[in-house]
Amino acid sequence: MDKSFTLQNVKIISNGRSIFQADDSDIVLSGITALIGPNGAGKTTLLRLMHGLIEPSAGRCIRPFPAHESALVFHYTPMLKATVREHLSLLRDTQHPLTDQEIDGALHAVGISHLANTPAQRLSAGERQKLCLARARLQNPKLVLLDEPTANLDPNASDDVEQMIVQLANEGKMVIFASHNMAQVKRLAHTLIFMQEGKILETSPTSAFFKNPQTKEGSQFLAREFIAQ
Amino acid sequence: MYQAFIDALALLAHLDAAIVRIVITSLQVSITALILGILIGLPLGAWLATEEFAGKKVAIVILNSLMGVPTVIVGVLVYLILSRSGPFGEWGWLFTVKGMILAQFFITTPLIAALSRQILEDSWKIHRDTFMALRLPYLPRLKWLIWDCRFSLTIAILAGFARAISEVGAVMIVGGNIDRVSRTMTTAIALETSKGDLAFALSLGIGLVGLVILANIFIFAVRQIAERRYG
Repeated sequence: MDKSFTLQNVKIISNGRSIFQADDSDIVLSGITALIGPNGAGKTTLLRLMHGLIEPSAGRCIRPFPAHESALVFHYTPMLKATVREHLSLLRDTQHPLTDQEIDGALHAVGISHLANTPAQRLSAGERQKLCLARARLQNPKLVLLDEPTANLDPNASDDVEQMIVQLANEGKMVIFASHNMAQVKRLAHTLIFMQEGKILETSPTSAFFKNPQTKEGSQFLAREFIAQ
Repeated sequence: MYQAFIDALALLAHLDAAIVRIVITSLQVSITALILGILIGLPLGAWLATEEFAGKKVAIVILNSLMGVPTVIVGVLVYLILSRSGPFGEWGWLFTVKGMILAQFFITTPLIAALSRQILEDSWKIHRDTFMALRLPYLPRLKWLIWDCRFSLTIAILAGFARAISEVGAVMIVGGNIDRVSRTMTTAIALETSKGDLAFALSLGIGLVGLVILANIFIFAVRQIAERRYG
């Protein structure tokens, strides 16, 4: 059953500047959703809001899940001076009792079992992202939030991460990811949310948006993106 | 001077009983004070690094200032609270090893807290979002932060040890430099130099420098091994 993330006159102010605002709206969570928009559109802010990492400065948001049932993976996650396995065992200090077998399983699922005892700071960007996805998987969330999960990755690593996103959705998890890669958005997302200047301007099925954006800003954004790509 | 140096080396080579006793007292006092300083200073530094509260900047300035307080001032204050008419006079700690440990505890704790706060705050800025996104509870957050900085924190611990083992003012005032009771390497060096027994003073000086070098080598080796293992 689809769930909704409800925003009621939400405003987020940071350093005296409004960085996100939304009148009454429901974001339906289903399958894979892409968040698109130019830099500074508020995509990361919306992901943080959904995860409960920040709260609205004004208004109210109603999350469909308790806080611990979502996982957020940043576009860049700094690594601790610890091994890959220790990065996963860190979750034992949260609400997630984990066995060694579960940790091994998560590493196997993302294809980095052979790096279990490697210092995480020695991993490549792609391997780091896989480690973060393994950690997100171990949190057993209903909602997975990914902030530009393939930014700075080479094509092979990007493909691997995309497969993992599809796999998460196939396991019944709802996935929302922010991306600047329109081809990737077309490949993965069932629905998309278009944002600009801290506002949600459009929510529609992906194919419909790419065929016929409902807003002037959406048309202009697509035109710029396709010229750029 | 040359002869004094030769005599000093001879005293060390024969493990002179008086020197050994003084070295043991020094290590007992400084290492105990260091351990207590770590137990209090490290969590205090971690708390200051990760928490936001009114007056935090004032607290940091005070803590940083405490690093530079002359040890004789610490000695006088501890003397006052431990003296017979002081609030803790009935403990009977004045002119004892316990009193000296207390004095050095007040010297090492601010140093370890201030240095570890700086190290941990830098790391906290890097990992804060990840820890919060993973919803790590407060104490595990501190635990992983300290774990991440464990190699850098050895510098704070080394600085605490060096300050404790090399200070003379506080242990002289609180311990009284009593032979076989509260005589440490630094207080003995001061006494023997004033008496003109330069060989004895030099042997203790060589021992003191040797201990500090050994501690540095140990920390350096730990860091090298750790860097090879964790990148």
